[in-house]
Amino acid sequence: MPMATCESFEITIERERYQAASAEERAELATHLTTCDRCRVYSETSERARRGLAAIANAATSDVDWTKIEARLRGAGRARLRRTLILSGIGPVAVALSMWGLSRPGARVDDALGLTAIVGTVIGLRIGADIVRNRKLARPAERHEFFQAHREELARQIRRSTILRWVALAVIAVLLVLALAMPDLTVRGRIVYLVLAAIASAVWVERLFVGLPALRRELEMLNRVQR
Amino acid sequence: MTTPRSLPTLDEAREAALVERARTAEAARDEAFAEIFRLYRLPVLKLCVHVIGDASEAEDVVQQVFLSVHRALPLFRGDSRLSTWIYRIALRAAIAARSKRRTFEPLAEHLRAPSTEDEIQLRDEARRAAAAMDRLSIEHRAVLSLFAIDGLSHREIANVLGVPEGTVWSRLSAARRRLNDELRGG
Repeated sequence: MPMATCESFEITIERERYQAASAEERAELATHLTTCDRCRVYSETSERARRGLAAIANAATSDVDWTKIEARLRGAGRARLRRTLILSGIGPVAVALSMWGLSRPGARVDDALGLTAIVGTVIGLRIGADIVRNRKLARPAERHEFFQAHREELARQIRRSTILRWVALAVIAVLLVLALAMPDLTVRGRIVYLVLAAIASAVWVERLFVGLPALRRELEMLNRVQR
Repeated sequence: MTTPRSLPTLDEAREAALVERARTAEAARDEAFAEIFRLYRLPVLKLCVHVIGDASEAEDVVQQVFLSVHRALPLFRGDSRLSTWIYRIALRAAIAARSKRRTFEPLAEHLRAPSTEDEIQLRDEARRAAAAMDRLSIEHRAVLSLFAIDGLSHREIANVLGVPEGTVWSRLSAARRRLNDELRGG
């Protein structure tokens, strides 16, 4: 029996399994199966595997506590928002208090407000990034081939993250130069630059050791083809 | 050799009505979402279990998927069926989760202790199939996982994968052949 014919019968076997084969296809397949061992083995082996996988999925999903998940899901939006708002409030307040303590009496308000604005902006950007990430997951490439679209999306994200990593590195270098090498800079000026450098460093470390490796692993997994 | 297609699915009109409700007031959106969650939670969980290969991780991903659905529901353009959109989100989330996974909780452990000869055989088949599945490429895994969801027609699967209907069958048989090879090899 030529290879191509058996391959097309394998498709018919699948179509029959999922009730999509026509009566004519089913009759042709029945005749073929009486003479072709290869297709019979394909049919039996794949049906056993299908049964096994279905049994696992049924068992793994039968004892799920949906009410718990539903409750967590219902609370997820509100709880997350509450947590984010508390953290967004605590961060700037802590910074404002530290600056108040560190600064000279005459410059306390300016210092505290300045740095609080910086920290507030960073937290705002972080919240924005979280919302964008969630939206991205829900943004479907509805009319494109799924895997191709997903690969392209990951490649785009890797490019953007790589650029962000280098930009963060450049910003760190500039800020450190400003903080350490400018001779007539005040102490509070140096502190502001060092805090900004620390924030840029956090972005750089996250991209370098967490974000980029995760994206690369996912793309590599998508590109991995069976031998 | 036929497989029952048992899960209920929404028709297009009902889907459109739900999406419309989700675009109105917050309370109506929550109600629409609750209905969507009840309807799609099980197939989405099964899809995640198959793709990720870990049941507890799959539960977390299901939460993430429906959180995204809840947030983005008012923005859903309706370029595709609602179900297609949800399964695509689930597939993306499950693939990302699988790429992060380091340890494996054997899925076959979820099967209850076999008492009859048939159950022993099924457990053995399940174990071998799960091990073989783990060695497949993510594309093969995804196709087999989508077909493992009862109630998802081949047309819907074609829409989820964004390929013509005919291509779905050739991809399924290629994935199945690969799985069979792994079963023989393993």
